Amino acid sequence: MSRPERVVLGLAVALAAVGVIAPASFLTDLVGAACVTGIFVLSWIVFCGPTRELSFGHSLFVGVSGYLGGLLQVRLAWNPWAALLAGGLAGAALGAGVASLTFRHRGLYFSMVTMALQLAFYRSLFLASSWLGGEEGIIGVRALAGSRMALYAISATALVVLSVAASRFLQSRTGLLLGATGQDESLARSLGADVPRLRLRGLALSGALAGLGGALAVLTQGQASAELASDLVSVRILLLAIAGGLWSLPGGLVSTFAFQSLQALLFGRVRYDALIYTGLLLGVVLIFPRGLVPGRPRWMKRVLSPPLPREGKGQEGETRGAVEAAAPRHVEGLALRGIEVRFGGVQALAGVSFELPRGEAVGVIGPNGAGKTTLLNVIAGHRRHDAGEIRWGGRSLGKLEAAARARLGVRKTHQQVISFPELTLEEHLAVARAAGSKGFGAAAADPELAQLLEACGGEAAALVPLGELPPAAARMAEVAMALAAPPELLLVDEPFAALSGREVDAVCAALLALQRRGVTMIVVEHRLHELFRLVSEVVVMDQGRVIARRPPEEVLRDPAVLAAYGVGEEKESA
Amino acid sequence: MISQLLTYCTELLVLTLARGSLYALIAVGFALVFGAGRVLNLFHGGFFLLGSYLAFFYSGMALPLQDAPRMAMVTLLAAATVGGIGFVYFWAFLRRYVGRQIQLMVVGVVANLVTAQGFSAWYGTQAAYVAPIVPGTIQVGSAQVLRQQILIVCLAIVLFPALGWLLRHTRMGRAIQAVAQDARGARLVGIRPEAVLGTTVALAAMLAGLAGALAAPVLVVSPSLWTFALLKSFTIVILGGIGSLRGTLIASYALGAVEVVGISLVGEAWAELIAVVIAVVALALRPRGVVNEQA
Repeated sequence: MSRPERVVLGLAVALAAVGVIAPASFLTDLVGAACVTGIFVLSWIVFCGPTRELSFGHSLFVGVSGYLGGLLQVRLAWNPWAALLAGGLAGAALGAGVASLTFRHRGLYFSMVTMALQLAFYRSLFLASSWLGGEEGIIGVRALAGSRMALYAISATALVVLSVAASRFLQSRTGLLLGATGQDESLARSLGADVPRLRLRGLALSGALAGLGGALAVLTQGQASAELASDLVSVRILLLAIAGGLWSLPGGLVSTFAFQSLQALLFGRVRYDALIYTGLLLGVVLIFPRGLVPGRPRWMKRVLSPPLPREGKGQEGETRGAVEAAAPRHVEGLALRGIEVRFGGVQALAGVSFELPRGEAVGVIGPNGAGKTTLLNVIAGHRRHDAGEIRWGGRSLGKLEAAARARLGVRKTHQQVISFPELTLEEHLAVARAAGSKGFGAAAADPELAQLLEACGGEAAALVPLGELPPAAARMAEVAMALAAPPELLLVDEPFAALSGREVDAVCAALLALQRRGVTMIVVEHRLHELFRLVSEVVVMDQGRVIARRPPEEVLRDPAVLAAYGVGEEKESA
Repeated sequence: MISQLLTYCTELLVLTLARGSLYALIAVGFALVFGAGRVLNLFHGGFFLLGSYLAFFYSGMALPLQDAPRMAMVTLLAAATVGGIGFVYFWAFLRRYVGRQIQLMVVGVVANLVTAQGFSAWYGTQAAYVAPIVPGTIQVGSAQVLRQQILIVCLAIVLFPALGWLLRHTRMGRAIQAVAQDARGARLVGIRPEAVLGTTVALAAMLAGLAGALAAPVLVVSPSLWTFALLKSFTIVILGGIGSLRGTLIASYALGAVEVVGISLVGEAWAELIAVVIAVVALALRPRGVVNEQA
């Protein structure tokens, strides 16, 4: 049982105890209301925790579903349970709708859009007061149950069940990938994560939870008041979740119950109780930026080397992957025809054409500005080309974006050091496997992976968030991710930059192991000695053109190559 | 027939200008701050609210002036006070949280709630009445337009070219633009981004306060008015992109037009919501801002 689930179990026991000790009392009413608030907070954490978005509009989901549930019950005399379900579904639909509206909005824009939608809806409630009842809202809603105790049991059960669901989601493959996109979206995309779809699922679930909570609030209180959809509720949800720890379900539950009991203590006893409550909550958020119970879901319970049966399965899967890569339906390799890229007035690539059969490894060298990285970016889909054609396995890649190409097996490592800073090395490997749909779970423990891990600093390093390790670790992590979920065509951009002896050996071993498994490879690297260990042929570029293609031992004797590097006479280097 | 159509068009045009000018006055400061520091100053709504309530407060004071000059004085005083509040707000709170988005936004939104709750505790939630600078209405087609609204339009016609000139030709204006384009680059040539941001926030507060004071006789002044100002600012920035005065102005009048048409088609209640959705969809289709002109 994971930590969040232990917390939820504890919560269930505590809620049951409250019911037994003080049945149908002021206390159960209070705790029942806190349970509903807890569901709102869960709904916020499920999406905003992993993605790091700040939604200021969760009361939109709460309000729309609450009003819908109330209207269906009062106007159409629906069964309250059916109205509750409809509220949840409406929340999910609305969440999906907001996700598709905001598929390009991140960060500040996302916050702005969510708040704008919430404010507009809230203001509409008053303007459409003739049938939505204005401030008072919809009254006379038949509750889900007749007795106070039954209503308490329903709220408490709902919180426990939905907590488990939220926790399961955060620990699932989608939750992991969503967390990766929140850390570094472009890296997640280049591993093949379908970000719009992930966000759609996350926000739909979040909306469903908030909608269920909103409908539950209305169907237990018997009224859908405008306050439910107000900015105040949005801000409270956000403050409670951040005070709890942003990405931590136990944290959210702890802060909800702590602050809701505080509110109950203050209510009616002091003037400006709402102001004091909000002020205290704000103080906690400002003083503890990481929340009261910082933490996040753990996906990995152990460091690399998984138990034996799984290891066997994993390796079997990988050899199959390699066989698949060499399968006859994919016999065609990489073919580039007349690739051109212009940056304003600069011709970065001036008609590059070459072919690379499957399973081959070629190095690309050339002076600075020759267009090496641009070439890799064009193949991987990180940059659009202005003219020419790219084919892989007989398929034209030109119109596909990077994530789609990654899912076809074409992947690139990055020249600059990037990683998911809050995830551990092992979690990086899990993200790579999940994004490439190579199953979800620990990576197979092969010797090259172990060597890479050793070079990063051993098992202790594998448990530390990668952002806290030296940049070399992030570079090796990218290669390790390729090992954990081998692509078909790997584009490697300066894998050895800033690495030292043992680290270089580990990366070399890993790349050679990938080649043995049938991975086609293009390596851009300035350190020729190491490069020549990896490849059977070297392509030389200069000023956006391919000027030579030769075996490593011959390439430095080619006069055209030497001229490009500004070496007049033949002179040995490397 | 043609004359009827002409009257109808004039009516739409005048209503659009009236709405658009007020929205532009509200949003231009918000967009400037957003551009200058990528700071989402959610307290902008509070600035507007403060402007309205201060106009109400000042108009109850004993001033040695009568009628139009008196209310003009009240309006200017309110704008200046809000400008000062913005200055203090920046140096006391906002400055600490620049670069820390979560705290920055949370502080802003809580400041709104506190201000609104403060006013409702002080005066209650009933509407506060503020006298216009120029009383009366004029008839355009079938619509009645307040003279105060026409005043806002005239003011916008004078104010925005002047603001554009300030941004292009004064030292401070150029510094604001430099920081908007690249804060680090601005620092390299000797501009203190923090000082520039502080001035921008004060300027934005003053404009929002002016908008609030001018709009007080037109709108119903109540503590929830900050949501109105913030919502318009959001929609306009979403629609108009950041960092360009022209984009903000075009977006403001576009929003005014959408709402005027929306109200005549679906009614007051849903026009606002539809305008927001249109803005969001427009940005999704044109991610660099619908009227963005940043090179």
